[in-house]
Amino acid sequence: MTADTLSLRPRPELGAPGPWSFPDADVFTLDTGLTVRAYHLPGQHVISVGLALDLPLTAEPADKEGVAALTAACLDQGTRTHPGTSFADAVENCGAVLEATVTYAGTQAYLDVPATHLGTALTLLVEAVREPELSDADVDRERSLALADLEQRLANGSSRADREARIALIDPACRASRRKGGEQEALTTITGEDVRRFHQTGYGPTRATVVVAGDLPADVRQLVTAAFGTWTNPAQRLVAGESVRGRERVAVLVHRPGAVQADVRIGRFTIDRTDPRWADYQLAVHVLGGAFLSRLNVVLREEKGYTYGVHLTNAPLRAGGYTVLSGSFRNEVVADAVALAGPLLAVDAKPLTADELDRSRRYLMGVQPLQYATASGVCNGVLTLLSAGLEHTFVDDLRRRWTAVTPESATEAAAELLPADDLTVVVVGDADALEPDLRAAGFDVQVVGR
Amino acid sequence: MCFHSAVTNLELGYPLIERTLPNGLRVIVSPDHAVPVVAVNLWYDVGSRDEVDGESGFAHLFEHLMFQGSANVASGDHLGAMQAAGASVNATTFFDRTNYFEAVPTGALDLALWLEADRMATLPAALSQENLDNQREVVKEEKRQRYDNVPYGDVFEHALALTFPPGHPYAHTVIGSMADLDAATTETATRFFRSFYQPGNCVLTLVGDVEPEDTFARVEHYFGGIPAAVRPSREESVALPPLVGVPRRTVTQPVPEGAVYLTWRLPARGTRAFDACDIALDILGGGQTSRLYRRLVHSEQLSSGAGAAALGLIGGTSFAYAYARALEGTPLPQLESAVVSEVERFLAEGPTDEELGRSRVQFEREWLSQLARVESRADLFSCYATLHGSPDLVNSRVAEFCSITAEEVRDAARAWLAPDARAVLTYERATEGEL
Repeated sequence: MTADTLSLRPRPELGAPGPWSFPDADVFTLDTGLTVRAYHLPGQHVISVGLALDLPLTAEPADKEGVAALTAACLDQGTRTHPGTSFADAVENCGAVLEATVTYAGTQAYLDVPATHLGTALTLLVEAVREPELSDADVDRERSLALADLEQRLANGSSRADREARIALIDPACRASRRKGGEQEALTTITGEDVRRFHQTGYGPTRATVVVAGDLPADVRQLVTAAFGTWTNPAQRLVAGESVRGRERVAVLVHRPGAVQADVRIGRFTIDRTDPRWADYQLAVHVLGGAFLSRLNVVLREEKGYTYGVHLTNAPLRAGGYTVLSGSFRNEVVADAVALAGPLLAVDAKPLTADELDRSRRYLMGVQPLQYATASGVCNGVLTLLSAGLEHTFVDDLRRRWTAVTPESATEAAAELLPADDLTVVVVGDADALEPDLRAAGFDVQVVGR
Repeated sequence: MCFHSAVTNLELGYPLIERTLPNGLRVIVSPDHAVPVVAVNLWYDVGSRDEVDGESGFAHLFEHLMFQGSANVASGDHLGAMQAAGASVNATTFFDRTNYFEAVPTGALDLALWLEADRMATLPAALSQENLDNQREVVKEEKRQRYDNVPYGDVFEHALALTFPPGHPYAHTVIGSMADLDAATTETATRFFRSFYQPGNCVLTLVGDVEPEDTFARVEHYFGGIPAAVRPSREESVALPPLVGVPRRTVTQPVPEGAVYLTWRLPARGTRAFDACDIALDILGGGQTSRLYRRLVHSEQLSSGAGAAALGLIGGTSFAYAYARALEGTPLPQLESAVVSEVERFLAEGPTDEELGRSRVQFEREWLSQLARVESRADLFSCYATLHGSPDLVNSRVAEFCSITAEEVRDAARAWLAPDARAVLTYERATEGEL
């Protein structure tokens, strides 16, 4: 029947979420030392494959920072079996997409391919890591592309702010204080020989893991074993990662002439996933700046209209990590926004409530089934955990620990890790327009780049 | 080569059950019991193409107002309540549509439907000058953050204005202009709501851990009491002919490197000619095996990035572009003529078998990847129901795309992508004193 006049129903109650846990894996180890983790996800017709190498950036020579990323960028530029551009052709001809990237903890090669072409794609992935050409010409070209990319990123206020925040928060003695891809000075000097040496000593099956996720064929073990089983490297050398440390609080204003908006980062060096306070702290951070109705966003976006959105996020590394507020604000309101942020983060003045905590807990637990519903979601999730030195059991463990968090324990973790009077402030914007207001608001900023 | 193991005739089998409520709301349900979540997706058939002169950016500003409360929902509560139920929520505005979506744990489905029904039925009850002013500032911050404060951020603004005649529905960007945003009033918002936000102008899709009959009953329960309204009429779309005279625009800005963008008009999406042009552009500029990348970035090293793509639009005419960004020292005219000569070569030769096969298998993977997520699967069903009449087309899309022949690709490229049918947008790098 068509309604002639409006009639609406009363607001329904929230029902309980269905049960969920992280998918199980078939785990096995090849004779070469390589571990394989296979996640069978029916209905996921694009298979995701990740290869995680235990190759932290501390393996880079100090004067060649960026060599790991450059090596990764050159992997698909040709192999002995498929020289030059014939390698990329072969990858794309089977419907695959292949990419290698670096984190501070290791190098990861990643592949998406329709299930029908999994065998071919696995063979190509092994070629890329075992026998890449890494010719001088490829390295020279990829280096100049990396330098152009660096220049583009520095011209972007948000990327620039992320970089400056790392510099401001992390001890400069740590590799993690600098770009994964290397800074201009070192990058410029990297040669084909440097890349080949890095590959020779860094890439190998020892302590490496292959993650395969999707609607897997029955013979997936054989396919993976056939592709990876003969990959060895007697020259592989293992290197320890670093325990990252923070540095003293600073306030920096990075000059970006003519910017109509400033990119703001406010943060502190904090913890990683292995810290016993992680579950408490993660929930606290979500209440403060993760949710749409977070304490920060409600005031700075919904009440004040100062920003498109402000977020507080954790950036956990393998050992150590930091927490950072990110937002862009028009020039006229930057000082006010920065001044408001500290008090909004102060939990000792206003402890987290049970309701706030429940909302954040339901959100974080509710979105996980979706996050890990796809092949790429599971594969990337496991790769992230591997780079943190963890396995997928961490996800279910964390769900149990989230359940046990109390308003008191979350408040205590935030008060301890994110004291409002000990925060580093980084502002990237037009220093001429911003400096007087920031000083008037009590921020003794050090101006960079003017 | 492995692409010969052929994906043609690949028909997908996602289940689809569709019903229309008496008030005109189209409802599509597609069960998938893999995880206990359900994607709720609404497409309203309104986008920036429906904005009249002086109201650019309004469809998007209105999308923000949809989160500022309705008769029984407080400002911010839609997003707040959904997130607190474990849902991810968002909305986007584009030329041809505005979509609203939440992926929720199954126990939160009723609440999601109730929230969506309340704002579909009663949004003006909560419209206030304060809400409008606040969201206007938020949207202006969004514009600064995503477009004005970013190198090349205004590329679409210039490219659309070059490609479409003044006043054409696609001649302006979705984000609109600051002046038009400033001019928006609550009266405009109410009028916009009454025209476009009604059950008959909406498709609601649910994909996930649900049963069809039960789901239709729930939708009827929450949306059935919303009265039908007269659907907005829209002027018949006109297919524009290709450009003539190579219109040009040069902007001088402090960008890291100079860049050249070529644009063209294309047929509307949903036609074989559009798909054929899409394939041509993919072969010219989609990824590192493409002709533009191989020549400009890989071989001649004139460029730090080069590519091409089609932007499918439903209203008579679509949009295409090719671009190249200079590596230090490459003069822009040299960059432009290199792009033009690759386009000319493609028009003369058409695609190779290998290129066409690659385009097909890459399309298959991309399509399957989109369908892998219940959220984007629901969005595709809403899209094909709204723009092309039937969600079933999603299941046959790979087969349809792969049926385009090499001759069709070559002929469509000749008809639509000729160098003298292009417009040219050039970014010159500003030097000191020009700022």
